[in-house]
Amino acid sequence: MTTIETRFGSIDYDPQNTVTFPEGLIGFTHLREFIVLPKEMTEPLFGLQSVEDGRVAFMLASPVQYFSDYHVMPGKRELDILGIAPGDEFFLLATVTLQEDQQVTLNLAAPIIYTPKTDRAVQMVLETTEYSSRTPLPFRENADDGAAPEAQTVNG
Amino acid sequence: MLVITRKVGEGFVIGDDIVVQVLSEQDGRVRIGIEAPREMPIFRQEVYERIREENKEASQWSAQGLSALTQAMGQTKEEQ
Repeated sequence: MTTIETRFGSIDYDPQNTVTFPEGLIGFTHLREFIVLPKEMTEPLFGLQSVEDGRVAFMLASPVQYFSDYHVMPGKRELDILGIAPGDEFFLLATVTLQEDQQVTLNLAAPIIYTPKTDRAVQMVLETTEYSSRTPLPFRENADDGAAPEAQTVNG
Repeated sequence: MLVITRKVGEGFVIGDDIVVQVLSEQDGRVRIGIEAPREMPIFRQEVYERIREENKEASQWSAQGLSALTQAMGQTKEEQ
């Protein structure tokens, strides 16, 4: 186990059990290794803590749980980075921001695609999209709906 | 900033494997062709800057911010 100091205190983690962003995230291309907080992606909201910079952590949510018509398929470039092929599983995620007026927004213009197969993730910038990088979270019909991320499959 | 003047059909190279060409120009809109290795990320500048800014804001969570976020999402649910 290794220990890092974060904004949330000291965290012990297994260096073998990290999520790798081979390209980093835009503006953070030097940070490649992250751990999932609290432990797994079974909550509607979970964190990605950089193990290389304790001050950097992202909160992620599954946009499909809030926007049922939000469809993003990784392209050839993303598949190569993730090391996956048609038929493999991936999760479509988005970073969460809390605006000054307490409005929660999702970055639907640059979603995060994660695959459990290689434990890699990539931020996919949608250059032409109707979705904003600050899309407000809508009210949900039923707050008890399971909102944890669900796996999707790469199209053949 | 390096400034290069090019005509339509001309271009320049960056390193060994990036070629940038001016394809056409009309009414102040310039079409540019870029040949680069596929692993090289290329973005329109304003898109890149918007995402970089958003990522920066999305990365600065504190325990206090998290608590506010949980509360904000909880309120979203309670307002049903």
